[in-house]
Amino acid sequence: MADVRRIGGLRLTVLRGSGEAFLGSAGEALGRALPNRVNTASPDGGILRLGPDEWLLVSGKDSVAALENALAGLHAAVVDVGEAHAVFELDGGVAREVLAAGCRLDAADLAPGTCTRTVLARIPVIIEPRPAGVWRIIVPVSYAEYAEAWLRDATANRAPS
Amino acid sequence: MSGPFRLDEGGRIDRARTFSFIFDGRRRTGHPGDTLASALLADGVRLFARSFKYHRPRGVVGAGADEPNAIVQLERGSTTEPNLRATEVELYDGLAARSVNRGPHLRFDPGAAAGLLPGLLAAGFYYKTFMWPQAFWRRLYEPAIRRMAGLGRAPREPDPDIYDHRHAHCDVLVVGAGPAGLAAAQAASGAGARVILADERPAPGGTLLDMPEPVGGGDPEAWVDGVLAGLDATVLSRTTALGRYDHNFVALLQRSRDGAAPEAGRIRQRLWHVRARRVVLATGAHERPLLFPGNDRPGVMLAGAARAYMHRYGVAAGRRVVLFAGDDSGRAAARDLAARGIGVAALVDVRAGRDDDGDGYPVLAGHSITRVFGRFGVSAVEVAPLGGGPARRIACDCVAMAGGWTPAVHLLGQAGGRLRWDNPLQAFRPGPETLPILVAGAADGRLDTGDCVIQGADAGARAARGPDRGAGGSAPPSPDAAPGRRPSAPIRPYGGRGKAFVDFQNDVTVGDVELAEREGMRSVEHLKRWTTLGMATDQGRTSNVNGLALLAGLLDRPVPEVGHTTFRPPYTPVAFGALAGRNVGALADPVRRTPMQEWHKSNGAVFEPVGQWLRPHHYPAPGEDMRSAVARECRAVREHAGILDASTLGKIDIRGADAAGMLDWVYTNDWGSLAVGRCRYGLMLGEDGMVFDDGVTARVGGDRYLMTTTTGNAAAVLEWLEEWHQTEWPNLRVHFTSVTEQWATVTLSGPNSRGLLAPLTEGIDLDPGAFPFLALREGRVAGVPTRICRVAYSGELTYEINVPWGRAMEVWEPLVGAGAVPYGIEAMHVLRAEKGFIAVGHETDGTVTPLDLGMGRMLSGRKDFIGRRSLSRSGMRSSDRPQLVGLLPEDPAVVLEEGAQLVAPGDGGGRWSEPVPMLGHVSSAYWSAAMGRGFALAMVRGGRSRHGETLVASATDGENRVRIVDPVFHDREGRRRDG
Repeated sequence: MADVRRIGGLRLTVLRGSGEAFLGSAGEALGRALPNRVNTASPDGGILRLGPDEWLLVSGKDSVAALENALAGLHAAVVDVGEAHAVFELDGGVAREVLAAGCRLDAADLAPGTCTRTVLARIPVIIEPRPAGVWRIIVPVSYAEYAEAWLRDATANRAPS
Repeated sequence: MSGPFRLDEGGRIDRARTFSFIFDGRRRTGHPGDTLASALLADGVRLFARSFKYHRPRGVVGAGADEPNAIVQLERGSTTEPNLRATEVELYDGLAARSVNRGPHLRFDPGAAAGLLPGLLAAGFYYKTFMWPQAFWRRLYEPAIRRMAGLGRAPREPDPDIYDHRHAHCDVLVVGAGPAGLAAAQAASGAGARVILADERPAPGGTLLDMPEPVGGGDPEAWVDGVLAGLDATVLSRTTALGRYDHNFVALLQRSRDGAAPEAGRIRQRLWHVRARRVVLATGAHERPLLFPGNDRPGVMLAGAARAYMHRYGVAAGRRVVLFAGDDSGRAAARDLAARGIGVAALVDVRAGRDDDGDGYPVLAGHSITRVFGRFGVSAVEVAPLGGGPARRIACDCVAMAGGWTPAVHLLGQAGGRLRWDNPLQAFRPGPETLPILVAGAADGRLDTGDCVIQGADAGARAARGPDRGAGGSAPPSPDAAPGRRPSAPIRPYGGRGKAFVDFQNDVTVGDVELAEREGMRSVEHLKRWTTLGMATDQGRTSNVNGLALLAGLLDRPVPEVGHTTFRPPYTPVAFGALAGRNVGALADPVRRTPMQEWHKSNGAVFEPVGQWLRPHHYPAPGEDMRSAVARECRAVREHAGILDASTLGKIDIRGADAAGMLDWVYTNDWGSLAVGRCRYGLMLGEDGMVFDDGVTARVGGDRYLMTTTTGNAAAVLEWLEEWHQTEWPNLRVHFTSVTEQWATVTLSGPNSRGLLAPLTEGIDLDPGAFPFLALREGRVAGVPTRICRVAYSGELTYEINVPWGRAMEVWEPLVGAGAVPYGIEAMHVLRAEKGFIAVGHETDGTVTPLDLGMGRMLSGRKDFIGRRSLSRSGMRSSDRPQLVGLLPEDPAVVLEEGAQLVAPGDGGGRWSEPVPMLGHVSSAYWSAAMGRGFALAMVRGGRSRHGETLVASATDGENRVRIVDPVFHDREGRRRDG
């Protein structure tokens, strides 16, 4: 079923830090300002603010070196976590059904521009509704097979008659 | 062809179509829209089941979830479902059901002889009769009682159906779609709230479909349709609210229409996890039976049920009905039945009052039924004035009881909501609002449809507005003040001697309650447990209030003083399948996989769960048993080279100017001195000084460290670091990031490992001089960038090769190809135990300090660390604490049992004088291929000073004598770690 797509080729980077200098330098290196509220994402997606001093960058290109250069001398961490995750994409409507099947969060609170770190089907996940109506569900890679099997089961059409 | 009791018209059934079904082996027919109960009644069936204890013949009492008697087992084989109420089972073509508790046949049941021995089976008989001899209980009494009683059989085959779970959120959850619930949902959704409306029946309407009364002067069904048409809400039919939990978390069970066979893709049941800001309970009320002799005869039913069968299903409960009333609703029922052409033989009202004639039938006020005739179905009743006087016999085939209405406050009760006794109603109704739950309609004791609609709308609007509790200024008057309603008759036995049943489902009589009172049961909770009143699957919907009011009368105390029992979920029985949902089979629990998982599988690994991981335990060669496989793997590591998938180890990236300072806090040893490119073993303690975790941490750059944790504690250690950093030392400039799955770990161990690794390695000099023990080097193996640590959990020359997760097989396969022998975690444990190395969770259990483990040298004297202060307490340094030792069984062939208790040898002849002090326990026990014998690690009181002593270890089939030895069995000098 094409409802659940596993996406390869993405770089994932954890960015940690705080303060004006950090925000300025990191934003400059990325060419975009970091989203300034927790559980929000950059307008074009891909930069997720997961905590007060924690961002996750999801992108086609590697920005580790650029960020490390820009943040040299500041208290910051740039950690490549690309190998550690699997990324799934689902269409928005399907994703809301999936959330209802296995997540306690209210999907009505999620829309493009938001993101969240939560538990789905007993797996720690990061969810990003993307601007184009596609939702990304990012799972630790060791859970990838289970997550894919669970997502396919949850997206199967089984409305009560 | 319609049955003899099917009315010529009326009912929400499709008379054009006929369903065929089987009840107790006999084929019958009904119509779409029928329930199993209505179809059977239409067909003239009275006898639905035998009772639980006395095996008395029983008929249907209610028309819904309150039914205590007509319990059936639906279908056979894998889809069979016990404990269903025939009044709720929707008829479908091909349905097959069986009655419960019956003997060979419903009409012939030798178990009914139990009813002739009332002294034997009276309340509390379990506690009195089957006490002695004790051994008889399990082998004789219980099996015999279970055969006689019991309400159905659980399926023995896997359930082929799909059950599902769903989370939902709303502003207002309305439970019940009768007049009050519909009005509430309409008002709440009209105010812009997100609304879920749940109702247990196949279609909304509630009592408006059972006992139609005009709403707003118009047709009730048209009103229901109108409300539904304009409703912007999630409407769930066939959906029962099972329980209300904290924070307005409500569990709803939605059923699909049953069919004869599972259909592809059909979800049989769905459990909704609803989180609602406000809940409106419009759950209606349950009618109460009256307490009179013979009130359990088939054909005696609730008056509201008789009306429901007539209006909903076009079925006559009887052709000649006696209405027996203690409430005004009896009068309404008589009028209603008579208006539809059902013969009403008489209206008997226990309340004094006008003795006039009704609409063509006699009204006998101040009278009671004193006797019911007919064994398998009512044929007549005897009626006499309550104050004494001549009895008369009235022929009838149905008695309709109208004892009054008990609000269905179960969900409010579960939530801890207060209830208050309402004397005119003779029932408990909701007290002041103290929870984000509003109650409307008959559930609040309001019995007038107009009242229900007004109050429902008010509750819906208030619920939509939000958190104003108890601000219901506009609520309509309470039923105490309802004009024209006379109070319900007091709950007590009417009609003299004879078995009058309080709880039909558990066979509790008025006499049982009287006996319980005589035997000293003063509390309603004691009454419940002694008599089992209200403890059946119907949760006492028809019996609880009758029982507790009866007890209050016997104790001569007001009902509120006696109180009510606790309401507990679920409201109706739930199938285990619904609770499990999709958490079955491969989806039962997440399984974590390493990048080598498929390789392990295809190379015959036997797996063992470690947390959510499945790790290779050993890799048996064809024909090899576990012990020889593990021995072969151990030999490979000791003599050649073994390869282990250690990817599950927790890995935490720690970086920042104060990273070493943070490590100094969480580890017991010193970290400031660790040079770049070196690693060090560390012990982590809890604040109580007990070992929490251990592992090796490497300094990979100036202010960058890579910490490893045990597999099971990966998440806990990260949380531990974050917690201390965030709460105690936020000034430390350090960040932690989990990289467990960024790096896969290939552990290559054994004297030949260097020779195997060298040809594949670029950029690292593997010579021990250049790459010493506890060093870290970066380079390439098989072209893959790696970080290699020299550690030695096995005691042999070991390279722990960390590679990017997705490229692990590029390193694993060439190493296996070069001759490295894969070994599993069992061999890993044997090897580390031979070296006396602890495993967190084996040697430690949260009560073990580093001193107990003989690891005092790990405790830095130059700094503070978490747990240090606890270790300074005198008790923690006591010499008789359990300490780590080795054990050698006297019989070398023996492998001790892990967890076995250790005691002194006693008199040597297998006798001990009690009490026998417990000296310790076996923490790890294995067969050592290197030593050719069994050995163990153990925690023994004062063990370090007892080397050489003999103890006895318990075993499942006896005991084993063991000698205490030093815990290091292999290479005490540590020469082998450099190969």
